[in-house]
Amino acid sequence: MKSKNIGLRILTLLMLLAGVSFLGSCGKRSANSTVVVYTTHDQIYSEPIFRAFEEKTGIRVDAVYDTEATKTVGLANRLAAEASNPQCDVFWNNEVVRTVILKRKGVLERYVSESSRDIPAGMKDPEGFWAGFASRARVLVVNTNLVASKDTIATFVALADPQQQGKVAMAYPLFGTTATHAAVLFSLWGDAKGKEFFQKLKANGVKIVDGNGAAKDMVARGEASYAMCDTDDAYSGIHDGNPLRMIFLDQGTDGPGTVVIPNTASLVKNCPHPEVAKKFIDFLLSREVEGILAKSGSAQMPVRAGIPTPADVPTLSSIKAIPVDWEKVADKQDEVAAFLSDLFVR
Amino acid sequence: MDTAALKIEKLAKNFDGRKVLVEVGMVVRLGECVALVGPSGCGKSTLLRLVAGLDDADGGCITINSDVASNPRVLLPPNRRRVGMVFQDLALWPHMTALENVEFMVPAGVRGRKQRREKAAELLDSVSLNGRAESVPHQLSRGQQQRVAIARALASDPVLLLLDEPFSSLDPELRLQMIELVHGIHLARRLTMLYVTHTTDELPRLANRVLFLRDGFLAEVSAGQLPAPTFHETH
Amino acid sequence: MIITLMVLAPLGALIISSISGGQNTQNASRQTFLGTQQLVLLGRSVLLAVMAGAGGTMAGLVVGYAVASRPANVQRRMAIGLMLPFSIPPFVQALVWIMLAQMFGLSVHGFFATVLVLAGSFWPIAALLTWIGLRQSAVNGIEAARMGESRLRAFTRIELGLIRPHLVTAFLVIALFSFSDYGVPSLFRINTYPVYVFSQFAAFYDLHSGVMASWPYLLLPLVASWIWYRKAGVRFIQSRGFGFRSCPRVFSPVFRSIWVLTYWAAILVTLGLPLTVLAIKAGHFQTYWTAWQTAKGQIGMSAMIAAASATLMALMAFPLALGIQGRFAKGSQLLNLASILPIALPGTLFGMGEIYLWNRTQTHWIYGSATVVIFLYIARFLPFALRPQVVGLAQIEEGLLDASRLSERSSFNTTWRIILPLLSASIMAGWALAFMLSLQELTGTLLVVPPGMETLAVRIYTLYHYGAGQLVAALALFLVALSGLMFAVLTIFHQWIQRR
Repeated sequence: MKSKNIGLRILTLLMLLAGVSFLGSCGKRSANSTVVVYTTHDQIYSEPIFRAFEEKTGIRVDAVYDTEATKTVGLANRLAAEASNPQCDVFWNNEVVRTVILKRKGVLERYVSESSRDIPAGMKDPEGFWAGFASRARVLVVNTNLVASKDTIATFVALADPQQQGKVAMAYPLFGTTATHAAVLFSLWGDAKGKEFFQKLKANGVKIVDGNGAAKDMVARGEASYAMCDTDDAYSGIHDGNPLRMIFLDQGTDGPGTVVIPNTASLVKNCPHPEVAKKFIDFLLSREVEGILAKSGSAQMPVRAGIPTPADVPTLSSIKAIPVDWEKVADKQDEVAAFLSDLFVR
Repeated sequence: MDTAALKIEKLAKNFDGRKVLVEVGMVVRLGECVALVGPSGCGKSTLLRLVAGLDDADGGCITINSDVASNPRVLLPPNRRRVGMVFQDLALWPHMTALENVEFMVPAGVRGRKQRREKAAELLDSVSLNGRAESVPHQLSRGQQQRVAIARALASDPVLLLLDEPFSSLDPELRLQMIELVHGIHLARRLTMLYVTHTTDELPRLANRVLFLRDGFLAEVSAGQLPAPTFHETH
Repeated sequence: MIITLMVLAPLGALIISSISGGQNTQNASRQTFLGTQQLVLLGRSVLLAVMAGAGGTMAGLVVGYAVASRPANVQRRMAIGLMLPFSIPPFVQALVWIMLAQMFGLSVHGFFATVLVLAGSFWPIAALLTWIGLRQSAVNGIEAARMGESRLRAFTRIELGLIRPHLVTAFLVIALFSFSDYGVPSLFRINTYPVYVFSQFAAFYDLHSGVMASWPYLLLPLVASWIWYRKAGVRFIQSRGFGFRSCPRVFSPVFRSIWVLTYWAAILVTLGLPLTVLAIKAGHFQTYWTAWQTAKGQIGMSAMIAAASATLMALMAFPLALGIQGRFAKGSQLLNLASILPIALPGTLFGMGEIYLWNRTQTHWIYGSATVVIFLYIARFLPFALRPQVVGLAQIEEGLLDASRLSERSSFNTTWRIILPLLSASIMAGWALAFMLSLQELTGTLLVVPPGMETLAVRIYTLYHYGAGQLVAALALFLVALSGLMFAVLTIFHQWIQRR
C-alpha cells in the first residue's frame, strides 16, 4: 500500500478549516445604511421594532443584546469601555439609572428628538441626554393556588413580615430593574428604613434568583408565594396560563405608589453613524412604537396619553406611581449596591 | 595518517552528582569492531549516546573521523557526525513502513524521491527483508524489526556504527542470525563499529577488541579476562 | 512570543487600563483584599472546587478503569464516548436537572446540588486521564503485582500509584473549572466568588475593583501548578509505558458486566438523560423547526467561529508545545507556567481586555468583525488546545525522537514526518476541546460580539431568561448536535489518516 503523508493531511484540514471559517465569519457594514443599537430590552420584543424600522426606512439595524441572567459586565460597561472609539450609535436601555450613569461618564450626547416633545417632563432628561418611553411598573406576582385574594399583601413593606417567611422570591438586587427599585426605595425611605427593610427580608429567607423571569417562574411553580418583578414578566406568566395574579403595591391613599420605570433612548457620543442614529431615535420615541410595545407580549405602558393599549394593559394615569428624581437615584446607586452586595452576596 | 575512526579523550559525564564516566579515553581504528562490556548501569549506553551526540558531555573530547564532534567549545549535532545507531528498543517510527523508516535516514545528498526509495529498498534487501518493505513495525516480528533498525542505521552512510545491546532479548536462534548479519555487514563494508553488550559469547565472533567499563573507568581486556558464564548440569 | 502575547496581552491591557484610568468608588467600606465578604465567598468557592474536583475525579477513576479493562479495539470507541458529555455545557446540565425536578414537582438547588452537577459535568476529564494513564502503564508491572497480591491490593498499591499523576492533574483541572464556573452556582442559587467579582463590574461599574478582585483567578492556577509539579509533574513523564499497548485486565464475566454497566450508567446519566429531558421539554417537531428558523444564522456563525478559533489554536499550540517540551530550552518552565495561568480566569476579564486592546481606529478591521471574537477564544482557550499536545509530546518515546535527530533531514522535515504524525491524536483532542469550549463561551462573547452577530450560547441564555423553555431545550440540542457532528468528523478523519 502506498504510504500516506499524515502530516500533510492534518495540516491541509486545519488550514482549510481556518480559511473557510475565517472568511465565513468576517463581514463588513455599509456606512450609510446601518445603525448600530445596543439594547437591554428583551430581544423577542425589541427585534420586531428593529424590523419595523428597517421596513420603513430601508436602514439596517445591527443590534447587540444584553441578558440580565448572565450578570456579565453588561452593555453599559461595554459602552463605557468603547468610549474612546464608539461602535454603538443608539443605546436603548430598559431602565434609567444606567443611562444616567453613562451620561455622567460622558458616553452620551445630547439630542432632543422631535418625537420626544410630548413625553412628560418626569420621563425625560431635562438636559436632553435621554428620553423615556414604553414603561414598566414594579409589581408583585402572587400564586393564586397558595394565597387567597383576601390574604394577599398590599404594601411593599409587608413582604418583610414574619408571616411571609420563606415565601418571597426576588431577583438579585444588584442588577437590572430590581437594583433600580431598591435605589428608589432608599431615596424615598431614607437609608435607615431602607437597610432595615432589606435586612428583614434577608432574615425572612427571601429566595434570591437569577432575574425577574426566574423569580416569576418560582411563583408559577409554587416554590414561592410572592415575587417582585416587572409588569412584562407578570404578563408573560399570566398569559402562559400559570396560576398567577399581578398586584400593584402601595396604591392606597397613604401608599407612596409603585415604581414605574421607562425605557430610555440615547445617542452615543461620537457614534459612527450619527444621522441615521437620530432617525432611529426619532422612530423609537414615536407614538407608533409605544403602541407596538403596548400590544406586544411585554405589555409596556405608554408614557403618553392617548395611545391605544389592550384592555388588560393599564395606563400610567390609572396607577399611582412614585415620583422619581432619577439623578438622585443615580447618586444613591453605588451606596445602595454596596450595602445590598454585603447583605446578599455572601 | 590517522587511522582512528573514533577517538575519545578524558570524557566525563555526571548524572545528579554521580560520576558515571570519569576521564574515559579510547581509540577505535578504522574498520575495527569494538565491544563495550560492563555491569548494568555502569554507563555503557551513556557513552554511546555521547558519541552519537544525543547527550552533552561534562568534559573531554570526541573526534570522529578526524573531525572534532565534541569538546568544551564545539558540539556537533548528531546529524552531522556521520554516525548510525541501532537503539536498544529499536525506536522504529510506528506510523511509517519499513521502507519509510529507512528512507528517512538516506542522506540529503541523494536527490529525488525515487532514488531515495531505491536506496532504501537496497538496504532492506541487504538485510534480507525483501518483501516486507511496506509493512509497519507492529506487523513485523522482532527479528524483522531488528533488521529494519540495522538497515536504517546504515542508510546515512555512516563512518561509525553504534549498536546498543543489539542481541539482548533475542532467542538463541535469532541471536545467531543477528550476530552473523552484523558480522557480515562489518566485513562487507569494513565498517567501524562500537557496540554495547552485557553478554559475552558472541565476542570471539564479532569483536576485534573488548573494552570493560566499570566505576566510570575504561580498561581494555581480553576475552579470557571476562568472567566466564557458568553452566549447570540440568539432569 | 507572539502566541504568548495573544493570551497575555488582553489581560495586560485590562490591568493597565484599570490602574491608569481607575475609578474607585466612593464607598470606603468595600475592600479589595480579604474583607469578610470576600473570605466567605472565596472559602465557599474553594470548598466547592475541592469537592467537585474530588467527586469528579473519583467518578472518572471508576469509569476510566471500566474503559481500560475492555479489549483494545473496544477501548478506543468507549473513549470517544467519554468525550461526548463535554458537548453539554455545565449550565445546560444544571438546567436539565432543574427541568427534571420540576417534572416531579420538586425543586433542586443549593451547595450540594452544585457540587454534584459540576462533578457530573467534568468527570469525563478524569475518566480520560485515568484511561490514558492505565494504557500507558507498564503491563509487566501490573501483572507482576498480581502474582503476589489480590486484585484490590494490586490496584490500590500499584496501579493507583502508576496513575497518580493523571489523577492529580484531573483533580486540579476539575477544581479550577469548578471554581470559575458562574452559571451552575447561579442557577442553584448559591453565592460564590465569581458572583462577587461580576458584581464589581456589573453593579458598581468599577473596573479597577473588578480587576483587583480577580486575583484569586491567577493565584489558584499558580497554587495548582505548584501542587502539580510537586505531586505529578516529573512522575507523569516517567510513567510512560513501552508503546501504546493496551493492558487487558482479566475479569470474571460478572465483573466484566459490572464494568460495562458502570460505563453505560455514567454516559446515560450525563449524556442520555440530559438529551432525553431536553427532547421532552422541546416537545413537538415544530419547536425544532421554529428554533432552526429563528437561529440558523447563529448556529452557522457559532460553528464557523468555533472551528476557526480551534483550528488557529491547534496551529499555534504546536510550536508552543515543542517549546515547552524542549529539553534544552531555558524558558520552557516559564512558558509552561504562562500557558497554565489563564485557565481559571473568567471570560469577562478577557472580554474587557480585548475591548481595550483592539477597540481603536487602526484596528477596526479586527474589532468590528468576528475576528475579535476569535481572538477572545484563542486568548481564553489556547491552554486547552495546548495541554493535550504537551502531554502527547511527553508521551512520545524518547528513542523515536533521538533516532530522528541522527538524520540529515531538516528540523522542519523531522517535525513534519515524525513528530506531527505521532502527535496527531493529541492535536485532534486539543482541537475538539477548544471547539467545544469556544462553542459554549458566553460571558466574554457578550462583550465583544459585533453588532448584528450572535452566537448560539448567547441565544440560549437570552431565551432562558425569558422562560422560553421549549426553544431553549431545542437550541441546547442543536448545540450538542454541533459538537457531536464535529466529533464524528474528527474521528473519521483520524481513522482515515491512520489507516493502512
